[in-house]
Amino acid sequence: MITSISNSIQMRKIKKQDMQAIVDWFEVRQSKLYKIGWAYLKNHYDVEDVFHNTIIKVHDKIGQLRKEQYFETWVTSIFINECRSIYRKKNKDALENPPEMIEEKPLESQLEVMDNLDQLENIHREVIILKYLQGFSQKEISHILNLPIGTVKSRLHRGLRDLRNLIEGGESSGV
Amino acid sequence: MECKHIQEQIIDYLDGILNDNERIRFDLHVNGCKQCKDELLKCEEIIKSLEVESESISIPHNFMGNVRQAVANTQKKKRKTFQRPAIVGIVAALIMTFFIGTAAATKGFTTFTEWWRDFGDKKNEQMENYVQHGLGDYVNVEAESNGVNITVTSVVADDVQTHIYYEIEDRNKENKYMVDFTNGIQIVNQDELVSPEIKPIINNHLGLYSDKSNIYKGRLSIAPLAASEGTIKLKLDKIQKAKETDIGFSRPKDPIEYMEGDWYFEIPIKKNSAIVHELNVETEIEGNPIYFDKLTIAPTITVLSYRFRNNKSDNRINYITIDSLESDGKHVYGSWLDFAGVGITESADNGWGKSEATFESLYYDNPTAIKVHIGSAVFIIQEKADFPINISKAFPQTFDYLGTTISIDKVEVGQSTKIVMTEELNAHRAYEWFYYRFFDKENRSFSKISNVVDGYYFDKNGTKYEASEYDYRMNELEDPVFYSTEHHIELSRDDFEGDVIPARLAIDSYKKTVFYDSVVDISLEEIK
Repeated sequence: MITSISNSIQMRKIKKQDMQAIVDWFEVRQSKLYKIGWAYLKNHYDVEDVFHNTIIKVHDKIGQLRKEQYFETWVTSIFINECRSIYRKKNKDALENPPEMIEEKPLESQLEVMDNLDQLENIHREVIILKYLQGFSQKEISHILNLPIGTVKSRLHRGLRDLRNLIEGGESSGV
Repeated sequence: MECKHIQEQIIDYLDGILNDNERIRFDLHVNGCKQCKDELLKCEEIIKSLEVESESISIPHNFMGNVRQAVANTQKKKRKTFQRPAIVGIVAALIMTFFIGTAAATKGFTTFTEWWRDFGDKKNEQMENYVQHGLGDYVNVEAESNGVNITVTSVVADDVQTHIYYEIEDRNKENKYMVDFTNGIQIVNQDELVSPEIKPIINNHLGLYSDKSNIYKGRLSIAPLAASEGTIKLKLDKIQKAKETDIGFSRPKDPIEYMEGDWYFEIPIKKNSAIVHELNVETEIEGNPIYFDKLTIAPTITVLSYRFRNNKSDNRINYITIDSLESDGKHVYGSWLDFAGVGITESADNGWGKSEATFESLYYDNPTAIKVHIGSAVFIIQEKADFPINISKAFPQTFDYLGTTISIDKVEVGQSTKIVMTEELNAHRAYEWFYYRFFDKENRSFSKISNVVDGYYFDKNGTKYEASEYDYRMNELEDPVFYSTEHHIELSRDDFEGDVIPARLAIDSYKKTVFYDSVVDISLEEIK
């Protein structure tokens, strides 16, 4: 009960465009959201930008949110759109400017499968990120991406299959 | 072919959402089919790797700190086009509801100040009572900085909240300063004191009446302590310039002016336990069941937790108002500023709304039975309608919504477009106010920078009152309901260059209040 009073107050403040309350909400969920951002962008400055842009958008558009219970999925949609748009910008630049070196990964972390995520088509990669890195249900994903559940399922399927093919192909080059 | 079908089910199988029959068929097939078994194992492996790898993604140190900084910078740049929250009308309505709750047939006040002074007196009296009963303390811890003296005068704490009363005196006798509970204040040892999931820690603020022009009195509301006692280490580095009637719980209309300084307090707190009663009582409104789950009787407040289900999706209960709780002939009312009153609705699953209505304390009464007086239920009824707006034609342009004439009287197009919209108010009016948005011809919607709503109250007898006249006299009206009649709206689109040109008014739903005289009897058994 006590938590619910603070959540309700926080929600009330968020609806009143209290920036502090909005940023606090993000802070509590930073790990979840960071992982999505990282899976898209692999660069923490970019992920910082996504957080910033999303927070500003949530603040400005909170009036458009109809039902409080959809707040999290609504914010996640915005977050993903931001990821997509920064991703697109980066890819345009990549042709002219070679990408910066990503910060040193600790030796133990071999993001083998995740690195291959990049090579999936966007539409498949997205659903995999949401489902397996983030733990959203297929129904929630269908809300976030505004797709029918059947489409979510078939993209998941295809994504997993493509990942497998990439990894099996990669194994032969001795990872 | 069976294999194709089975392979399509792999994801659902791994999710655990196949039904029993499907799962058995799946297991049977896979056990006997190498290809499918392979497929399943590989999928499992990948999913597992994804999950494990995602665990190893770590967030750089001070990530959120950088994000906060970036956001703060953007906010600073935006200050020039300062946006008002589009809820001026609704805040007014909420203040009214508050008045109904407390004033309740005892006194009528003709000015806001009168009411506020009385409210302040009641709080002082209440604090004396707390101290007498050993529930609260006069701590009187002081700190001074830059000519401003801040005193934490008293505290009272329970399982629901901790109240800290303070006074700020400007020694230079020039200004009144108050605490901005969202900025410049920090509980240094908050991790030791309060459960980590509870955020925010400082969650509310109330201004109290002070007759001196350089002294401000206020009360901070803080999350409850985890342990039964502790010391709050409170640090202030900024205080806000206050205006005469600054209660400090809603966003101010003008940019805030701060004064910096350094004030530090160590405040000893003793927490009082609340008496909690698990209820299991059901009632219903228009076929919608309402369950009363729990009654928490704490020294500072009484909380009634309940749930209601919106069975009908087109005619759903938005919230219910509980007028009062009665114990032994004595009524306690919602005190909105004690962060109480109109139920705060949080939704649970399956279309249940969970809510907590709060009331003045019943702690000293410790009742064995209460009566819950349900006053009304507010329904949001979906009734969509779209009306085209043509700015190249003359105004006013009118339409009919549910038998009422809605008129767009004026549209001034610009970067932030101003619209004046009026609604007819006669005996045929079927709704109180409606929820709407404006769209342009490319179907983009606009946010409202401001929306000043005027209208009338109708009381229980059907008498009509001008809303602006009765702002602080709501307690004189019986069961008042607000009907909107005139809107002065300012629209804007932030991520869009150029003029805002509305092409359509889209109405989504409307509000309707129904009054009940329903009393629910609840007997209480103590829980150890």
